[in-house]
Amino acid sequence: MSVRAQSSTASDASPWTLTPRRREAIAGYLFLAPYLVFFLVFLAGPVISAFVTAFVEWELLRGTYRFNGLENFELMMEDDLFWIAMRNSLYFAIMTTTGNTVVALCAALALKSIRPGHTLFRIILYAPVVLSISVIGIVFRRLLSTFGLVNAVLEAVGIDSVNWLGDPNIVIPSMSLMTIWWGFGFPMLIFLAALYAVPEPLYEAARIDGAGRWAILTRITLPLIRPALLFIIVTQFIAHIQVFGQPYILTQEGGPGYSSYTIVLHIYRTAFRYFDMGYAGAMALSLGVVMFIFALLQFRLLGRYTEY
Amino acid sequence: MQSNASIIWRNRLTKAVTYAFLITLAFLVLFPTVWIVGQSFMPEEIILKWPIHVLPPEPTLDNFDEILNTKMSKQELSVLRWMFNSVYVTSASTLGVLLVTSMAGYAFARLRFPGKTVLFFGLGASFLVPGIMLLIPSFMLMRALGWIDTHHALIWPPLAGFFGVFFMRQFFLAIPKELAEAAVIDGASAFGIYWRVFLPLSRPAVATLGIFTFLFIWNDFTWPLVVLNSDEMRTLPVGLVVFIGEYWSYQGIVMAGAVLTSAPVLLVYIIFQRQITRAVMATGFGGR
Repeated sequence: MSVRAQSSTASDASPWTLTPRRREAIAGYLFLAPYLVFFLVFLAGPVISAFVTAFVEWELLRGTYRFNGLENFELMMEDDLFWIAMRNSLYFAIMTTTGNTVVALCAALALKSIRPGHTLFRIILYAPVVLSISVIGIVFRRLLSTFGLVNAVLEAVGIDSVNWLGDPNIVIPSMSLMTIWWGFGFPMLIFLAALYAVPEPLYEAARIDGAGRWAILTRITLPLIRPALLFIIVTQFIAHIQVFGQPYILTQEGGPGYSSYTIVLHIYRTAFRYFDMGYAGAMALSLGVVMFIFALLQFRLLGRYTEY
Repeated sequence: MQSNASIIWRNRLTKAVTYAFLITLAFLVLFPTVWIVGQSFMPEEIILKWPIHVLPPEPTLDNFDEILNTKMSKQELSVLRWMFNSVYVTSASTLGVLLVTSMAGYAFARLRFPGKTVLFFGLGASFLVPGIMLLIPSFMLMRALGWIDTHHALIWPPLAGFFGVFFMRQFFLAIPKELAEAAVIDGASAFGIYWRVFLPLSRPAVATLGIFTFLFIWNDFTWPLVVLNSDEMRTLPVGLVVFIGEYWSYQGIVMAGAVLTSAPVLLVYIIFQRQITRAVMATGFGGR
């Protein structure tokens, strides 16, 4: 109201007249406004407070809240569980990323080369991706239990049964295997898309030159789908190092002992069992920053390799 | 001659190996699935019998009856309540995401305003923020808003996701200018052009974004586990894990719960598999 009043007393070339251009700009901001509100409240706000939380002593139950500098990070260095969890997560992420990438790449190569059955196989192989971790976790906890289906099948074939979830040395590979079962369909589709984008004449030329399958794969296919490979490896690694649902459901929060205890499980328990928000925040921030740098690096690398 | 024949043989062999590989993979995916569904229709005595049955000899709905009608703990709740919660939260949030992100996407694709590029890339940077960094601050925010143990905590935060904005923008950019110009001549307002021209034309994109948002919110586990704590508020996936604690020894009931939780998403997947596959291949979303 007061703005209107002032503007009418201002000069004739009023900055408040609605030229079509200004009208369009106003429309633009109005269309954007609802999203911006949600973005600021639920994304930008939490990102900022993530940086604050890491540097305060904040225990919900005791009601303490005070700045404590780097104390949370010092605590992290001395926290054995943090390092155990970090090692487990890293182990799991490397194993799952490698497995997923290899299985997905083989499946994509196979899918691309067959004609009848292509769609059917694709539909079946992608299906587990749409299921919730809670379903996958519950079902695999039964499948992999000592007297579960997997061991029953193994024994029927004459192989000794395996203590999939109870052996400290096997539990992470078991989780990894289950995660590959659940998730390889996604990278498979990405690789399939990348494979279709490789120009067919390149293959023909190579065949005419007498190149074998292996040579074609390593000299033509893999270099040309490198952006997709890089994208998958980095995004998978970032996703799997944040593994949570698997140990939460499958091994009842990281058992046996702490052998499948992961970093996000540690953050979860610190925050929501012991309500030590400051320390949990510091761990989450550390992990988050490392992942962020990792993601940035990916974009740098992708930028470099996609210029063909 | 000799080499020609050997080439043909080698091609046949590769083909056989390729099919064998795909059939093995498909079997590994399907076998547990069939087994789960089978068990959910089997009475407990048959499940425990040796040798194991994959398909139920005489299918029964007892497990589903039990899971749907058992009242949980003291609160007179059944799984039906969780199902309702899941459907409600997922549809409300998906509708919100579609409306809010398509409007923002429209602004970025079709309207000129100062600061557009900076804003677009600024918002886009949120893509790189890992989920774990947001978990605790988001929880504290819900606490400050008084949203702990309410469905608001599940419905509203997904509206901040940038993917929808990006996805809708790409689609709007591909719609020919002339269509909008015709609407302007007819005297349509900016909102009218968006609502009556662009949205109807982008039905496939809206559907795809809707499907992915639906799947994502329906399946989410960590966030509802953290912000909901009473039995009556839970969504199906989290409820399932809690419920299983009490019923762990009844395999058939556990499997019936798993089937009930996955049936809606599998149905959506089978109906829309073409759109889902195409969208994943084109944009790389739905990644985990």
